[in-house]
Amino acid sequence: MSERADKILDVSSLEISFSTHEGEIHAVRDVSFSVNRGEVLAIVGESGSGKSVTAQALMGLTPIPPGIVKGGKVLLDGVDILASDEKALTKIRGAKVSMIFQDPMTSLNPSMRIGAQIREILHQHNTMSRAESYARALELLHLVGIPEPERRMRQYPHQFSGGMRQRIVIAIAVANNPELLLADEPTTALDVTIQSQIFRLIRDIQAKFSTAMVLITHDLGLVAGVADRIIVMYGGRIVEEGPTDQIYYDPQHPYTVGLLNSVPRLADDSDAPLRTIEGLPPVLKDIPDGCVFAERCPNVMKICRQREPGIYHPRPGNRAACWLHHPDAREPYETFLKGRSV
Amino acid sequence: MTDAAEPIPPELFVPDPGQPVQSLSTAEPQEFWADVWRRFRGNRAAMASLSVLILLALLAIFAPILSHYSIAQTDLFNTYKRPSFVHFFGTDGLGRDVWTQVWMGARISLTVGLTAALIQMLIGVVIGCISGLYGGRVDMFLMRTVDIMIAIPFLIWVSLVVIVLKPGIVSIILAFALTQWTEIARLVRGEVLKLQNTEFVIASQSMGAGSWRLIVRHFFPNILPVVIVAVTFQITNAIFGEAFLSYIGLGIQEPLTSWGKLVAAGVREMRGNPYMLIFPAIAISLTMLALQLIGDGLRDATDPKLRQ
Amino acid sequence: MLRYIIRRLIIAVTAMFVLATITFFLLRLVPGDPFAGPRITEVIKARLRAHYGLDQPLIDQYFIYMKHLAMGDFGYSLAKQGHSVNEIIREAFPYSLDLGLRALVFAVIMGLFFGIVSALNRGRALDSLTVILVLVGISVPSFVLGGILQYYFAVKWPILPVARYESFAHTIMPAFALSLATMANVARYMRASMLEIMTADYVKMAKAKGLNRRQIVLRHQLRNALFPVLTIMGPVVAMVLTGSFVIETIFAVPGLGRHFVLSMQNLDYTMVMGLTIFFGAFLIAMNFLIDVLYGLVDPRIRLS
Repeated sequence: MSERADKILDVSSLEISFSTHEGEIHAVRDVSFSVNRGEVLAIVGESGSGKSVTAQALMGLTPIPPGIVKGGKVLLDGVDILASDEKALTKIRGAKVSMIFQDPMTSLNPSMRIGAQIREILHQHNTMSRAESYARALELLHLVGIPEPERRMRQYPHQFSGGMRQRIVIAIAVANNPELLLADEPTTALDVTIQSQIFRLIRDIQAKFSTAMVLITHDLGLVAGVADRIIVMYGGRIVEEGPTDQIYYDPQHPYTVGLLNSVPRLADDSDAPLRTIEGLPPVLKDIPDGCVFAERCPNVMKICRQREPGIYHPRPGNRAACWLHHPDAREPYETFLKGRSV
Repeated sequence: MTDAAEPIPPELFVPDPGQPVQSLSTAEPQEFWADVWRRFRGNRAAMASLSVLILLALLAIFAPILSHYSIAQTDLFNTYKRPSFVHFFGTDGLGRDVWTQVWMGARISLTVGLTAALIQMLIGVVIGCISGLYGGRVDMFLMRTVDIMIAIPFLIWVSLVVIVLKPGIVSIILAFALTQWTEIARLVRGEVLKLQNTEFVIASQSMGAGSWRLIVRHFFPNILPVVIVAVTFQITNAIFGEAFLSYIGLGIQEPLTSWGKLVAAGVREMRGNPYMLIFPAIAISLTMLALQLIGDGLRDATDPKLRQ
Repeated sequence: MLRYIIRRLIIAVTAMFVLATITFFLLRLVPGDPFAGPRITEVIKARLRAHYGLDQPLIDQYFIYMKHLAMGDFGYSLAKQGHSVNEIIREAFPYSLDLGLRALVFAVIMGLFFGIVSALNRGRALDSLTVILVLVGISVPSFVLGGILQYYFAVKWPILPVARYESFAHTIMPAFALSLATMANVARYMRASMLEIMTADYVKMAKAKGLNRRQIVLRHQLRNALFPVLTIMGPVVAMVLTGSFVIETIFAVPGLGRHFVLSMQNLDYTMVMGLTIFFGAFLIAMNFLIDVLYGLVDPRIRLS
């Protein structure tokens, strides 16, 4: 099952920085992961964790000044994205890999009819007649649940609500049956009532076409029903990765525990204060020695402030970058396990 | 995969609660104006312009005082002399020292520009505030008036007022001040409306803050940046307008002089004595340019979208 | 859309009305009797008195004045005795229109060109060239520029005619001098608009669709960058119009701008008022047309 042919995406040692007038910001540091065909991987983290930068890099969309790719490989179906030239990338983007952007209010061209915006991506990667693209666009609108598609095709984005616009964005993203779909916080900018609708749509489409998907979000509660595996990012690094069930029921990193605890649940006492992780995410300008989460970690040990943790495999299919899994940390680890209020 | 080569002493694997976590931002709260200044400083064009402007102002103040010549002093033996160490900018048709004239003219042009712009600012801010705060019919009336006033190009307005009030330095200043406050009023009204809806205003109102206190403490700091940028551009307009009016003879009258008058004379003398045009032309162009770049720089420095 | 047009129309008509009223009262504010200049003969005075109803109470004068205007009668000139303002407008307007159009078209096309090109080539030669052009355009007053051009291209090196407006060669310098300030402003604005759009989300989306740079610029950036520029077309037309006062004077172009300047210098009050109203009405009408055009082009307004 671990043949290379099964991996649609293989990221190794990705390192991306941004040069600003305040100095170099190390946004992504030594990130490696892979995604199999048809699999759904969720990347979860706070703002500033590096998840969006990683997602952009997967399509070669990192803005090169001020961004600098300092190292690593991104193999999309065997093709190294970071080493390809623009010409090659324009053939891949929109066809083999597609992105669903975060804010539907700004990701559609306000002066272009939505039908044209859908047909644009069709004509870009297929030879079809205008009649064929018209028909296909109608099909796609129907697929994402836009009523009266013939009439709506000729309308402009401002004539649609936020939820409907995001459906159009999804239609565009899946138009050419990509093998990999990147969804960058696809529901964050929407009304709470619409969020679950759109989310379900994405999930259904993914299941229907068995598209591999990388779902970026800050909301760990959201991905339970759809992700096969979850990656937790913090401070530009992956701190934990594992199958969904394991992450939810048996998390192996204090940050993951913090994230899980901070999701308010209906069963919680409504008078109790919301649980948060104390402190703020780091700025990543001057990388501290030691674990980047040490400052906010409730299970921090002396070693954590001095050296970066290695990567351990405390459970099958899981990796966690935490000193708690070192053989010499048995007591603190027990404390950690007891402290998880899962 | 476990960690690197060196073995780690087991004593390090003990809990280390240590430093309390700072829950709030560790960045020092930068004072707004300090931040603006910092950003402005980083804009090379704007800083260069500021230096140029300061230099011009200093010359306007001190050059005529330090000069051997007065502007009325004629010397019929030395007419139309080229620039030299005796007369830095040469002399005109009556033997008057052009250097002195340019800097005296600077005083007038700059004063007109500054005064007109400041009065406009006062009028504009007051009207903008009234319009924004009172709303309703008052607002509609004032804004329609502004719409109509804007429909007429500023040079025409200014010319009309000057004709009626008889040309002179006061009428020019009044002409500008009374007719060009519209842009500032609009901007101020826009900011006031934006601020009215912010939660902190509603919160302070509910805590009983009177409207005057509200205006002074909350509105001014937020309105000021926008107003300052607009005023900078109005100074440019005023200087240009004064130059234009003086050029066609309806501006500054004898015995005063201004850059506009000097340029008018210079254009006439261009054939034989180009220096008479060049120096005032450079002076006025530099000033306009510097003001524009400073205005741009201020706008970028106070733009909330660009703040970190 | 219809409501939008009607609103604009009402504002336009009101503006014209108010403008006429203001000019009427301003004329009355001039100290002394504007009609009592030494050059004005009795015959002319009698005609003026009859035309303007100067013997009648102020309010009646006002209505007479407005009635004349409504019929398109702008009164009589004090300086050019015997000539009506209408006559002078009829003779001079075509020159101003010709010069103004040449300058406007040149300024807008070149301004857009430089703005687009400099945004797409940030930091390179074309960008620097544009920056220099803009700096010169916004700082050198038009009368200075006109004077300098005249000196170099007509006197020092006699390539072009120095003044008057009789052939194509005559139009080159005035049109260029008139267009420079406007060109600079259009370029500046367009450049800023393009740069702002470059970071827009839908541009990122277009890239994610696999479009190449040319396609992104042409299909997504240009159209949206042009919209905001349309909003400054009103001030642009006004700029060309006021610029014409100076340029026509320097180059002795027998247009309305020159007449306006002359009538101000001669204290020909009726002429000044008449021309003010004409210019004002012209600008108001232009602004109205531009507003309508904007409404047609922006789908958000067109379809509401």
